[in-house]
Amino acid sequence: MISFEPSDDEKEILKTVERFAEVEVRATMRDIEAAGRPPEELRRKYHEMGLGMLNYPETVGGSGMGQVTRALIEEALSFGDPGAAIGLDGPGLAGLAILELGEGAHDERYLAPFAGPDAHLRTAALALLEPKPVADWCSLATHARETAAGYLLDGAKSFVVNGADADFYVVFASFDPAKGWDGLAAFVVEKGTPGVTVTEPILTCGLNGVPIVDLTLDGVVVPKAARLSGRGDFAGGFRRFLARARVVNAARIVGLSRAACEYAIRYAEERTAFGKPIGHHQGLSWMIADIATEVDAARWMVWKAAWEVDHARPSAERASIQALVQANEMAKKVTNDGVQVLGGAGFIRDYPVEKWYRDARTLAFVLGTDPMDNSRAATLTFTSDGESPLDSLSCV
Amino acid sequence: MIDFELSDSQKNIREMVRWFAREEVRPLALESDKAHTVPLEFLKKSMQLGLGSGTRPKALGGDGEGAGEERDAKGTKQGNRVSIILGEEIAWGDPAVVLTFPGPGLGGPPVQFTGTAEQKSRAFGIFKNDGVPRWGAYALTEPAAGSDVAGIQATARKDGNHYILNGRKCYITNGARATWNVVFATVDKSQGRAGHRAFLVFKGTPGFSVGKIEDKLGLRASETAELVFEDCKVHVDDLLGGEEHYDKGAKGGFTTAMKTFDSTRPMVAAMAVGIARAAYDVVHDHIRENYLLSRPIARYHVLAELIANMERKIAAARLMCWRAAWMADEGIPNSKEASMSKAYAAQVASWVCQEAIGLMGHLGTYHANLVEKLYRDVKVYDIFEGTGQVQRIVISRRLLKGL
Repeated sequence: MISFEPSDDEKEILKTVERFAEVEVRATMRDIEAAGRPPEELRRKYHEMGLGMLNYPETVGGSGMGQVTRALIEEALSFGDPGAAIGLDGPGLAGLAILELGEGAHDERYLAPFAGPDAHLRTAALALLEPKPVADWCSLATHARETAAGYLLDGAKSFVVNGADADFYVVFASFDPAKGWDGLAAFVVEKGTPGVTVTEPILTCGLNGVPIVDLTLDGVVVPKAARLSGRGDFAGGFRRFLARARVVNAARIVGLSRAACEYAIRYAEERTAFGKPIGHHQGLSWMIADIATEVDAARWMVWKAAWEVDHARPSAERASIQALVQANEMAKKVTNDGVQVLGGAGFIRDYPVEKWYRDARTLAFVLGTDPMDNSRAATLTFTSDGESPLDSLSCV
Repeated sequence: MIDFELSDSQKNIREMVRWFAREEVRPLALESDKAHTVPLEFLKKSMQLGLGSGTRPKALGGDGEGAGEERDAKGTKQGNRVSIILGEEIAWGDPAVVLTFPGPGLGGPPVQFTGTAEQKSRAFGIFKNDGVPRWGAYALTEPAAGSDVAGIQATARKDGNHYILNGRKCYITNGARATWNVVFATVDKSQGRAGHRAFLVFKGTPGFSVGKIEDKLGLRASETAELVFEDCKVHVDDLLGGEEHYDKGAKGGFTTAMKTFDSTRPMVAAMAVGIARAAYDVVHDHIRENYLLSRPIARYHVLAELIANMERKIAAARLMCWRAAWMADEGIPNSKEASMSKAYAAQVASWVCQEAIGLMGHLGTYHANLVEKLYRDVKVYDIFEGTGQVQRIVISRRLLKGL
């Protein structure tokens, strides 16, 4: 039954999260940005609210909630501040990789501590992207080789979000690029492993509320048990992980864009020019109508993709790509117009819209680039069965 | 709970309509575009399936469960959701043929929303299961008042037990062949919207005649008529909702016109989604058969980008329609969302059709190619039921206070 109404439980959680996002996060977002990460106190509150392990299974101390609930909450947090939303998320996207690719022992060792009493002091980070552009995930340059002692990893990773003091990294590497998806693997690399060099936080365009670093892996040896093999189907697990991660990222992009859109609307009602509120001039009122429409369209795409993930739909991977690309395209327009509505004030750091303008363009690349995703979506389109993909996409 | 699964009965209806669209509607698409009409046999078939009877309640002579009355187990109405699912499927078959289905058409919602029991029974009672196609129609637009509905010029003057209508209506879908039209006129132009009245005007009423039948860019299988009212004498019983409807709410007539849009705009938007899907399918097959060769399509980055973006935007437009229709069913005010769905879907559909021709090159311009026709048909979806610009006015007025 088609419905856009969150469940009663979700509404209850959302009420709390929205208040937290407004009172604790939005109000202090410039401080968080200046510090480069959310303060310990805020992280403690976040974990006390039980948000840290929301969509992890109860066996590792999570709440066992689905991707839809997660998307709603990430959107609400990111409405407060997207950098903080990532900085507060303990296991982060690395946690989702373990969820989809790890075995029971990995869950116990790496995920369960995030439900423990000192969870707010822990972080983990995803090390997926690399300094050189890749056409698709199969051509990762970070190399893995099996040795008697375990696995030998060599290469470089970049744009490792929340990676400054991570307790562990989930590093994606390739055994053999010629084998495509089957040549890929992921490894947990724990803090202090010899050969791992972590840079100082990198100065980036936006998303400054969370430290982003580069990694160098020089002859790093990890034990056999550190390999995340996807329980026998690495390619499948990797796709499921990417789908989940895209939904989370897209929800955050929607959250920050909604913030920019609503701020612009309130400003356009108050600021006057030529004797009336600027929002009453059609040049702006139509611009605002358009961005509000775009925000909605992306929002429902994210909800739908999250729902497909929860229901393990075969089309979930494609839906997640569509949601992320839709969100990115929307965010470019919405945050750009958000600054435009404020005019000169939009360019000044006293107002938040310049921050969203920077954040949107930085958050876009956490999981690679749109062209890469579009290629993948097109491949899926033409490798599906004879039916129109749009039939299978939404209705079956 | 957030859910995107259709109910079993919705799936069944959709499968039936999808089958009908593929087997019965699509084969007529090119031919009926040339002939400017559809065969009577086809209309009879569509009546047997109950298509076009969307808002005809069972209690009022309908021969089946009207889609507008379908409820789920909890008693929540599903009508708007069912309508948009069907609208998308049928428009996929052909966006012009969908407008020719016998039934109350756009005249249905205003009668349903504001008609008295007696008027509903007279208006909906004509749709009998006797194999004779009949239509209702909705006559609002005038030569000098399209988007600015409040500015209609047609007049209604009370004269004893009658109203005397004078004026012209234009671009009325099925207006000439309709058994009745819902006609909007003003009793006093100085009152603006408060002066609006809606009338049920039956074919053959003295003073009511049909002007020219339009020759159009697209939707050529559908009849678009000009209606002329010269001292047309309509009984007070045909004032939609009766006098009291206009006494209690000062803008009763205008509200009737606007309330209709909350249901019909998502429906028209869903049809645009169907058109986009149709164009996308043609292009998809074309690429698979001609360009793919032995290389994966994603290697052609221009194509990959375009195909992926088409598919994505169509999916997004569909969700906008679902959202607006869900709100209508739940009784949540949805004027903003209805306009959003319409503005967004029409824009997406126009873009998809343009790019579909682009992908096929010169072959896309041949009359024998479906995308050529869809490209002509789709344009009006950003115009009727409120232009894209009118939708933006509606949306922004609901976002910005005091506008």
